[in-house]
Amino acid sequence: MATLNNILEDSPWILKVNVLFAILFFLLVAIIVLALVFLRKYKNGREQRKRSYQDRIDAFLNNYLFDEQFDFRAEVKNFRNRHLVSSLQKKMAIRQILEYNENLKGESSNSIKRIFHELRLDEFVLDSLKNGKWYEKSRAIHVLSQLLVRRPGVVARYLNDRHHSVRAQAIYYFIKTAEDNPLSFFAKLNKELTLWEQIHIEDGIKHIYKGPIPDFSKWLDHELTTVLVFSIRMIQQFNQFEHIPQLVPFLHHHDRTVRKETVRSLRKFNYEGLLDKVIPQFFSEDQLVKKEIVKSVQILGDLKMLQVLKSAFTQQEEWQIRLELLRAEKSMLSNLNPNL
Amino acid sequence: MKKRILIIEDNPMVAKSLQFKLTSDGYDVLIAEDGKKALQILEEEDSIQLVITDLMLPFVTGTELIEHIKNNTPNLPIIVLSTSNQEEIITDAFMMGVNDFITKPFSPNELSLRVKRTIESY
Repeated sequence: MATLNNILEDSPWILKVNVLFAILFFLLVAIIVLALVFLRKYKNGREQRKRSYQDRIDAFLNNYLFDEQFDFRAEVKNFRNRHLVSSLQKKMAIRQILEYNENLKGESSNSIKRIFHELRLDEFVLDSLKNGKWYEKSRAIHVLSQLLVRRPGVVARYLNDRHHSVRAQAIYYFIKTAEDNPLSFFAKLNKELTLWEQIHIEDGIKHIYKGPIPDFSKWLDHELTTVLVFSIRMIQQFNQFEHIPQLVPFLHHHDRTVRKETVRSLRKFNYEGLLDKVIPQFFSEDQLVKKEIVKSVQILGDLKMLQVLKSAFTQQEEWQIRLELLRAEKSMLSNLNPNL
Repeated sequence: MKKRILIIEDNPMVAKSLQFKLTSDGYDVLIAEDGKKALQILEEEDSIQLVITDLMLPFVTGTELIEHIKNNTPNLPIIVLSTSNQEEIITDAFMMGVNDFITKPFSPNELSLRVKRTIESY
């Protein structure tokens, strides 16, 4: 060190600066390497702890499910007090319980739902629902729906949440936990449904909900346009023919999307009176509805009816409708004469 | 002597549950988390009396594994435990000679009875 000092004292300033930078650089590298080693060790240790904790949860759940000697009261209390202390432990336990719930059915599945309550994990989930960030709320609602925790009053608050993911989970919750009225949440909605949410609800009713098909006409007086459109579409998709008379007045609804969906649904129902009701209002209709009317004439009407519409249609700017009329005419003509 | 069962399942939760349930039923249970390891165990162990396998497995698929077992030890009974409930897949499995097909989610008690029935009938 003394030799280095002697050399540096007699050296020009540029060498001194270089040596200083070199020392700083080596120090920096050493700190980075040490930090990397420390982080790696920390991560490995954490993973190891997580794995061993996961094994402990698995052992507890398997003992609970399959060991006839399992002392329920004592074991649950012991596990809750000793191994469900930190937030991470609770989150891991919930994840494992969800996995068991997903893979097991019958008596075991009911037992898994019971242990979730007995370990008081429902309280933890409800807390994170109240205080968490959007992704924690979303996750919490997902857990409640998967484990069929019936707290509709609590979840209803999130149906109109600012974040779409929370809203989607809240909708899923109501469909998943419903026994006979999967659309009861419509009463609490005050935000229009997005197209994705409508698809999501339809899919949920078809594939997740297990009860009787709901009466969609109950929602035909809903104040939200998208709920109305959805209900009209579902009446048709689930062939609820008995509600056709309730759909007809919607051909004169003030919103064009509602009129469009009504024309489309009544056409799919092959409703005989449709053309008599929509042709008189064709020229004053919005383009969106006009297209549906042309399609309806093509399917339910005749060529003469279409040609009358076409000859009377003079609005040059509505080229899409003209195109639709020409397409419909071509299709009807080729149906009449396949050689055309 | 305990009857030995080989479970081929890549989901550790399902594998552990099955092992726990079948061990408490009095069986000796071996676990393979992928098809390759299963083939290795099958070559080394000749005392296995039942194979329970998933169809979607890493490295060697369940179907390839079933084919291998049927070619080498045609009398070894096989139960398939799969998430698939498509009629075509179930029919194909039975055509390949599996003895039973259980879909996930499964009931451990039901599985236990089916294991007992399959082993007893061999």
